Amino acid sequence: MKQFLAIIEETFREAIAKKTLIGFFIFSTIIIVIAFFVFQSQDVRTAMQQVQETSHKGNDADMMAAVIKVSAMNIFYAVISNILYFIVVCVGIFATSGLINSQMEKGAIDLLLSKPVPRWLYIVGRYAGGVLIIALEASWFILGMWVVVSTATGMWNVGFLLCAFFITLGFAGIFSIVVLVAVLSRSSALSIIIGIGLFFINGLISLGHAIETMVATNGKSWLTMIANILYYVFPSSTDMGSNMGNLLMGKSISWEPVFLTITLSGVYLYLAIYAFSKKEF
Amino acid sequence: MEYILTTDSLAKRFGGGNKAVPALQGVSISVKAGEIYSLLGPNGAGKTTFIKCMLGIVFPTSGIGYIFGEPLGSINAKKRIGYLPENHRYPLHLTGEQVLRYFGKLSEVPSSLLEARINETLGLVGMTDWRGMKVRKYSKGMMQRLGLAQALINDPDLIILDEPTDGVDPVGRKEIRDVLTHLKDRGKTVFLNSHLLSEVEQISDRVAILRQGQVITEGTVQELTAQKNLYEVKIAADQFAQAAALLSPTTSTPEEHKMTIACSNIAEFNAQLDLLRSNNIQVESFAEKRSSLEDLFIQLIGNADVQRASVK
Repeated sequence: MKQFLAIIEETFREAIAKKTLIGFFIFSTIIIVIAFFVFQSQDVRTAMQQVQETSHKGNDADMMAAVIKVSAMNIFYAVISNILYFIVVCVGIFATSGLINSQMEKGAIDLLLSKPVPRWLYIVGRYAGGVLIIALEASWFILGMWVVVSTATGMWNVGFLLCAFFITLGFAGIFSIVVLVAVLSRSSALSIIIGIGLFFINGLISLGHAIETMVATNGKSWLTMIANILYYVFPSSTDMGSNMGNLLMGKSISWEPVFLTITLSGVYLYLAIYAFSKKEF
Repeated sequence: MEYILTTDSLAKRFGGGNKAVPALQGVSISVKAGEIYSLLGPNGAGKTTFIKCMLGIVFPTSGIGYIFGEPLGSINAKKRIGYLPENHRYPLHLTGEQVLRYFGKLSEVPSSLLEARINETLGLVGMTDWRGMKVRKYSKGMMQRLGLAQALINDPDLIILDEPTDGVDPVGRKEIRDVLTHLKDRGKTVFLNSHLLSEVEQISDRVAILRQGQVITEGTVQELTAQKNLYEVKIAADQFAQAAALLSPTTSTPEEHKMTIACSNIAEFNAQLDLLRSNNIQVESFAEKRSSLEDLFIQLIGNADVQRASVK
């Protein structure tokens, strides 16, 4: 446990030294501050006030209008959470991919492997450190935006806070593949390309899977079949975005992509550990 | 005598098929507890590969080995090993003290002892004044000293050093030699890889010379540097010419009053001494003639090259 914590601590130190952590913090803070000024602008405040006044008049037509506007606000929350998700995962992959390769550099790896630490612990420690960094960043981002938006709208949607979990989970899924690629290739650039590429391709796979599900009874095309297979091969990062939308819109969450992402993250991490344990330096 | 490190026919090949490169070819050595054992060899001889096999950084193709009775690369054995690799690289964002704390934790040094170990090792390598400086600002020599401190942080029983004096100035090299001697005095075992033959000769108990992945000779420094059947005799200055006429030396240095005589065995050498004494020639000193480790190294490596050329 002490060794595990030491590896995580060193991961944080490295992220701080590389300005990854602070850069991400500054970036997210700037976005939060911009959002604050946008929501404090006269136009937005007037619009928010109209929603609140309308919902207090009491007649049916106005109540219907209020319901529509509340729904519109939930959609707005859902859109914001998905934008944040996109930003955090993309920036997160850039920020953390180097953490795996830095410990495999010549001169550093010899020292690490000479210590009484099982090889798998270096991979798990670095992975956990990377995910924790993103969890902190995502939490800060989400919390800041939640306070800004909720203060302006008067609608304190607590579900928005849970988005930090889905964002972190979505990142963890992609990051497990980034770790595997980093171990196999020892190339940060390739890890980033595959990580970002996979994040975008994941959207297409999820779309294909959704189409396959819808047209299942009417026959399947080869394209949707491939999408369906890939859906169960790669972590369902895009579906985390859908889940955030569902959560904020008051709909039920689909647990299948959650469990699938956790399982596949474990599988890819295991493959990375296996490759690392067989690697010579 | 207890052997803490043994290997038997250890072999390592990199790559496969026609492109396979044999880095180690049946290396069998044994290192005793409490000795300084040095592995010498030209570049590419397989010295670093041998160390990496011991630590589980690369895996032997065949053969076996044990450290402290545990298979090579085992976690339990590593708890008792300190290692300074060649061209080591530390996280540049850490200070010297933080480096030691990090590697101390990885080495499972108890929290209650860690700070004391950091202070002790920094003091031992003369780095106390620079403990708070970022590693990126360290000179090569300071980096080597920190590396040595890192290798000692867990108070290991076996210290493996790959070119520990590389890039260190003569004063620093002397200090590192003193540290190694101090460790030996404390009962620690040191396994040393070095190009600096004069240093190895000064501090090593036993030496092996590796060439193309094979041990071509092994023994104590005295055994290896002794020139068999050659004896150096120092004669009183005024009787040097008379002695030379009696003994027919193979070489002589009149200015030092020394001559080298060839004898087929110790009995013949004693007979030669008797001859001098019977002629009332004063013998000031005598000893088996020795070459330097460097001479031996060049001779062995050179001979091997000649043999290889003749085979081709």
